[in-house]
Amino acid sequence: MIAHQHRVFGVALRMLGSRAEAEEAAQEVFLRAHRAIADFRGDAKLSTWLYAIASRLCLNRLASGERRLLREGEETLARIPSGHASPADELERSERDAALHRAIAELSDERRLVVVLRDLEGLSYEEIAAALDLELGTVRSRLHRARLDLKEKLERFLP
Amino acid sequence: MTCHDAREQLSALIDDALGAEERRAVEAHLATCADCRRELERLRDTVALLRAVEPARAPTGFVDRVLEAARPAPWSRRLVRALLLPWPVKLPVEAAAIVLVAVGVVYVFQATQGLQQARHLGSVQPMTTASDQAAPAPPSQDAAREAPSTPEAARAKQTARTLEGARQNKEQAPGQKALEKSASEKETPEKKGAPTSQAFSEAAQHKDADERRAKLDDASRDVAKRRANAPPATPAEPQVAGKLEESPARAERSQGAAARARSSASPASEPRVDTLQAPRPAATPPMATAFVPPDVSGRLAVANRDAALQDLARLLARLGGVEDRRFVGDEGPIIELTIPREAYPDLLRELATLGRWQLIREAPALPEKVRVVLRIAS
Repeated sequence: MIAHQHRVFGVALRMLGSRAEAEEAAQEVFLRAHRAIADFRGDAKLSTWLYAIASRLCLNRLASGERRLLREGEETLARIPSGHASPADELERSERDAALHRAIAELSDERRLVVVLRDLEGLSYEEIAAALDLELGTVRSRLHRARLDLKEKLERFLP
Repeated sequence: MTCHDAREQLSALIDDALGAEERRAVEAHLATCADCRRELERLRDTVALLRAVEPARAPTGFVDRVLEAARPAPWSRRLVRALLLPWPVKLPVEAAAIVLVAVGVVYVFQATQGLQQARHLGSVQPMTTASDQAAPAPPSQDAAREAPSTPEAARAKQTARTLEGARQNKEQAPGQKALEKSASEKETPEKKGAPTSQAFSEAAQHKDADERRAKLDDASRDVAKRRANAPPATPAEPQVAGKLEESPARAERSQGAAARARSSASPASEPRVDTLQAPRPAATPPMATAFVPPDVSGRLAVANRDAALQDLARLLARLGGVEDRRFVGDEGPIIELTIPREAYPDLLRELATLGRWQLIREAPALPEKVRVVLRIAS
């Protein structure tokens, strides 16, 4: 659990947008995993199994409408400021991070989830397909649509 | 391959997720299309931005909190949850159930005679118990003749004191345990007899009631007599002054008397017979207001009750007597009459002619107006 806590928390944070809600969800993920450990098939990676639980739980929460409306804006994608960057660079990075956060947050839940799992968490297409119980082609097209959306919104920050 | 087809594959190309065939086709198109190459670069930059995002870290103490939450809740909390949650549903239902059960209990209680009788008996018991535990014996040796507010309370207290005396004696004479126990066991019949005694005070000449009262009076007199005979309390034991100070042998007799007084069932114990025949004590303050014992009582067995009653009426008229009251007894009518002392011998003689006359009780000194109670039996 110690090894996987940050990944599960990361997915929940990017999907739900607030640290408090993300912690609650991540805790629920581990409790569910604890109760359903007998169902875990040894052939799958434990991390993929946890991602699957976390993904379902987040999508359910988002669909249920019970979640808090307030999102904790920049916090979700906060980065540690680099000591070497000039104030101008810091400002630009700050703006870019804010734009990136907004762009991710504005994606549809399904596209956001695929992009988070692929580009932020580093899962392969096959792992994503297994975790979300999707066809490989669906994963590929969903991911591509999500990236195109992001590219349009982040055009101004691209080199 | 068209630009549209090629651009659909760009993400997969970046992720190296294309088959060899697809990859060759896309790369062939890109080699000839500057726009698509530019599109690929923009997409690569976008993905690079995403992948540069700092990985999120779970908050400090997250694992501990999860482990804490995974631990099963204590049984008390689980019970409360099971009983009360969700409270908007369960609380009203449970409250309604409690009210329903309460109403049911009251209904059943009201509908059941036996329970009400039990309650009645239960209300008698604490009175005796309380006085048994708390009421100290009065310092006066004349305690047995003390006049409380009601005759029944007096009787109960009397019993309690007798028991108290018996207990004191038990402490002085350890060998008395068995007797003490039997006295305690007979306490209950005595209490059950209390309401009956009340009926007796209304119909004072009723035979059974008369006997029971005589027994109780006998017991209390017995105790009082023993107290009067008892040696005075020694200074070394001031706390028991006024209670029974008796030798073990005397204590045994006292307990025996108390036990006999309480057993209304045992048919022929000697003190009772004695009491029936013996003159009643001159003063019985507790009953004074309700009942004054007659000077003479007797039983007249006749063949024809109605004829006997008429003869009796004529007899009274002749002798100057007056019929005061008439009751209905078990065997027949009970007549209370008053007759001048000088006519009393004539009355006895005439009664003997009316039927089988049996004189049960006669006061040693007759007053000027003799009160006579006659039981007319068939």
